[in-house]
Amino acid sequence: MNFSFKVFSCFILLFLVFSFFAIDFVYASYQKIAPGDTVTLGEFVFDDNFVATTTDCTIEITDPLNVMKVPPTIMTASTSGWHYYNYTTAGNAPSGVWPSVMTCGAVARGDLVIVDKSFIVDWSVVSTSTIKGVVDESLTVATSSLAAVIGANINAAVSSASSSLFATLPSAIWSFSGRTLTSFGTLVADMASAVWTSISRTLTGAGLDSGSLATQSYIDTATSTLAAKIQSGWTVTLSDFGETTVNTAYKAKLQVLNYATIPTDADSLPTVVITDSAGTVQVPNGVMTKNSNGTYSYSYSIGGSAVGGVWETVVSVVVNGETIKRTDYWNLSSSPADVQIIDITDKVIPTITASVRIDNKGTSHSDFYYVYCIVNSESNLCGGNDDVDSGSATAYINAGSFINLSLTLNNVPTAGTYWFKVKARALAETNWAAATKQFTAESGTVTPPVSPPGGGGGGGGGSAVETRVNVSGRAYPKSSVTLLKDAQVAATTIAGADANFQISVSNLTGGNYIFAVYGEDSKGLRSSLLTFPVSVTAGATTNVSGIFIAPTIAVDKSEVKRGDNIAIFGQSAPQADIVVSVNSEEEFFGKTISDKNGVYLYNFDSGLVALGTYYAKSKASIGNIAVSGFSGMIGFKVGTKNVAAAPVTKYLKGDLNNDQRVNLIDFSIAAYWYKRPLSATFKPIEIERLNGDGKVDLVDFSIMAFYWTG
Amino acid sequence: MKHFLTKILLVLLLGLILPQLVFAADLFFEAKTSGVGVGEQFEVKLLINTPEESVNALEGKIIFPSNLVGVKEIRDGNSLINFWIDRPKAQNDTVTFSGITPGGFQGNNGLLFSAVLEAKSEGIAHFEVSDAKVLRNDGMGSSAALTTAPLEITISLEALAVTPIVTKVKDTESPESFMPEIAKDESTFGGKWFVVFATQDKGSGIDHYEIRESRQKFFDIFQRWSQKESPYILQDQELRSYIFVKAVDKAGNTRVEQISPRNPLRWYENYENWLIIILGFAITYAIKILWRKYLKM
Repeated sequence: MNFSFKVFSCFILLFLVFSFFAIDFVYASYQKIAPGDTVTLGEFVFDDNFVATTTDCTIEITDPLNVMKVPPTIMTASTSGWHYYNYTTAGNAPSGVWPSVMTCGAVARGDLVIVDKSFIVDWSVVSTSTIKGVVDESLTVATSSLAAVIGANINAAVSSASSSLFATLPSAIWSFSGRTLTSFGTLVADMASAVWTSISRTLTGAGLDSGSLATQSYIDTATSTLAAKIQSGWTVTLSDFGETTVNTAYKAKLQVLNYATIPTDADSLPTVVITDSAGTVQVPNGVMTKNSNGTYSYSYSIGGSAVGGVWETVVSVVVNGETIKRTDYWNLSSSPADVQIIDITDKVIPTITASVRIDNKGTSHSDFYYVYCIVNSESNLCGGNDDVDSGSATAYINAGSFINLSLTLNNVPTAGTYWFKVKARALAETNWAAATKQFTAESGTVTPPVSPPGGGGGGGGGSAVETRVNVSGRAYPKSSVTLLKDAQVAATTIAGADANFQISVSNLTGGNYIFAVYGEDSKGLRSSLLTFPVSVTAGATTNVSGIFIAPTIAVDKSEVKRGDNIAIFGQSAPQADIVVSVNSEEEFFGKTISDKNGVYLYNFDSGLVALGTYYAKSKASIGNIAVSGFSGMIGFKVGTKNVAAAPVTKYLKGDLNNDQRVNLIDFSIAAYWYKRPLSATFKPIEIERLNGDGKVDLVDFSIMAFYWTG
Repeated sequence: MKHFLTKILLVLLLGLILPQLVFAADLFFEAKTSGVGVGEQFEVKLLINTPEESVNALEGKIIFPSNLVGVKEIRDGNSLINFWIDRPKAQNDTVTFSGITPGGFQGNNGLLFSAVLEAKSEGIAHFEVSDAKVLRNDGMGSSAALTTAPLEITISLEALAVTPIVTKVKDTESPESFMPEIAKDESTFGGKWFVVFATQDKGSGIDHYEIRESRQKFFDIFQRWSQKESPYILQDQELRSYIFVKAVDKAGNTRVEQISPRNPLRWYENYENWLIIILGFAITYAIKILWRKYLKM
């Protein structure tokens, strides 16, 4: 350290002069800062040679309350000899002089320098905005505290007051002797008016019109809708059993799911009613067994003498107070078949013969329909027009009995490996029993072909046994029944008093025929055509049974005044269940029963439908044994007056020569005008009896084919 | 976005079309082989499936490549069509047909007709149904939805068939019996009497009809059969003749049906009766001569 004592003495001298004579000046020269501001305390330090030095200097700061805020701390130094220390005061720093001493050097070395670096904290130098901020902050804190206190006190006071008021107000009003609504002036009237004129008011929103008050019917509708919605929120599923045979068990399973499709228990165990095909209730009140949550089952043992046909199972289950019913229709086969091909007895082409046994393993006698064919691959089934040869026929087999048949097919052209197939079923059944036998057809002595018959009379043929088709079924009591073969009249007969008929046609050849039957009732009304293709085997008798001719239908008015009844009538089998259907947006079904003469009558209330044109049709059923197809449709108008129906047969659609029949003659007349300009004579006929478009085309032939009588 | 809209439209379109397809009738071909050699014959059947709806009238055309195949024969013997408006007939590369089934047909594999074809040259023969229409049996002739399926037969230079592809019809049966009817309609055929007839042959099918009118029942040998079609305008508008209608099938089997005259000749107007009387007298005279000779012996 090379400090010059002379220089140092000068500093001390100057210091003393100033100290004695200018104390105020000293105070005045102290830095002034506001609370929270930063003050920089520093001094340039030189050595004896006036060379800047970076030798450590320390600073010590004390507040006006004589609390040491900064203990002796080394100051920052720069190469220029500047030593400094930045000190930031707190926002609430006390006002006054903050004594601060800067010390450089040491006594031991003889170069100690102590410099007063005190500063003044003074609120007077604080800016207006800062003061405002501080005041605002203080006021906010104070206001918040005050509000919290006041709020708490008011809540407590109001709660206490309300509690007291509600406790005492009703009693006070009720016990007030002079109370009256009218005493409120127009308040009640005003409120009523306000409610009444509100366009958005509603009581329930369930089907109520805006601006209307709920009536009983509204409430009923709403209740019904609500009930339906509640019911629809549940899913109740009953198993579909399908078909079985006698001496087996019928099984049903019911599952109840809630709206979230979770199996959920019903209110009680579901009950079961089982009715057989004859309408007799076999199980009046069965109770299902619970398997698991929401799942129930029922088993019914079917006896050996049970009636075959379509049975009905109705399961009732109560869910959430609502009774829900589910129905399963299932078929009981009472005449199951069994088929065996015992042997191929003739393998020499072209004629192949198989010995076949068909068993009726059921409890009911029945006609059995059997189909047989020869095919050239095992996977090929009878039918499909790819059989080498085929045939079909019907045989009556008593319950528990069987028949042996010798089935011959005579159109196997070449030797080789073939499969003889037979399938059979009872006419009322749907399931087939089948058998297959592979065989090798052999070449052998060929039977010489039968010579063609000569002209003039025709007939004859190769079959030694007559080829015949027998058709039987139900029509109308003592009605005329016509059988068409390939659309031409083949035979007619009269049905019995019980409506049953049997009609035969012979001198046929083997092949595919389209047969059709229709009936004519006691009033001369004809039924619609019932057609059925039949594959006839040469030399065999083919029986077609179970025919049920559709009812005839007529109306007593061509126009009915809306609200009046219109009579829909016709004829069917005696004591048959008749379903009358009237089309409209929603189809109406009515039921009636025919009398002993087969005549039925149904009075349809035209008030159920709007003004317009409607069409009615009917069908008949007897138990679950026989069901007819629908009759033709009869039209009527619902209007403003009653107009009696025209005579039944003013003209017949498609009858071009007006002979009350639609047959080959009419076809020929139409064919004459086919794609040819119509004459003035024929135009009105075309308009009246065909589709009236001024030409004859396929559509007119289709209309003719529909109304065909043969 | 555009693709998305296209997909939506397709789905909507399918939604509209599919329900109709479900209930559609289906016209389709059936052949026992998919390939034949040049010079070989094969049979193509046209069938209909209509399991849901009853139909009663249909028409259409079969288009086939006449440079590859030739139609040898058309068989309609077991057809479900009872009356042909246009009997199936090959012309150039087309077989046109239309007909009706009174009462309607509902079912599967209903045979309309079949064609026996001969392969002429190598190639792929494409068969398709064109301009087809099927009408419902509803009394209004409304159109049923219809789908058709084409058929392809590959024709090779070498013969492929091991066994005969075409089933030979061994028909020894006469055509079905039938009932010709005489009718008259002021609007048709100039108001003249005509006869209508139709029958079927389950074996080979009807080939043609022949007609003969004769005022004599037995001695009609001088009258010739002439090939005619139904309806036939009668030559004898006085209806004094017997009318014989002969149906001839493709195997040559025949069936003849007869209609008696509505206004038959009086007995003396029919030379048959005079011949019988004269013959009777002659026989009586001859017997008398012979008896005398016998007595003298």
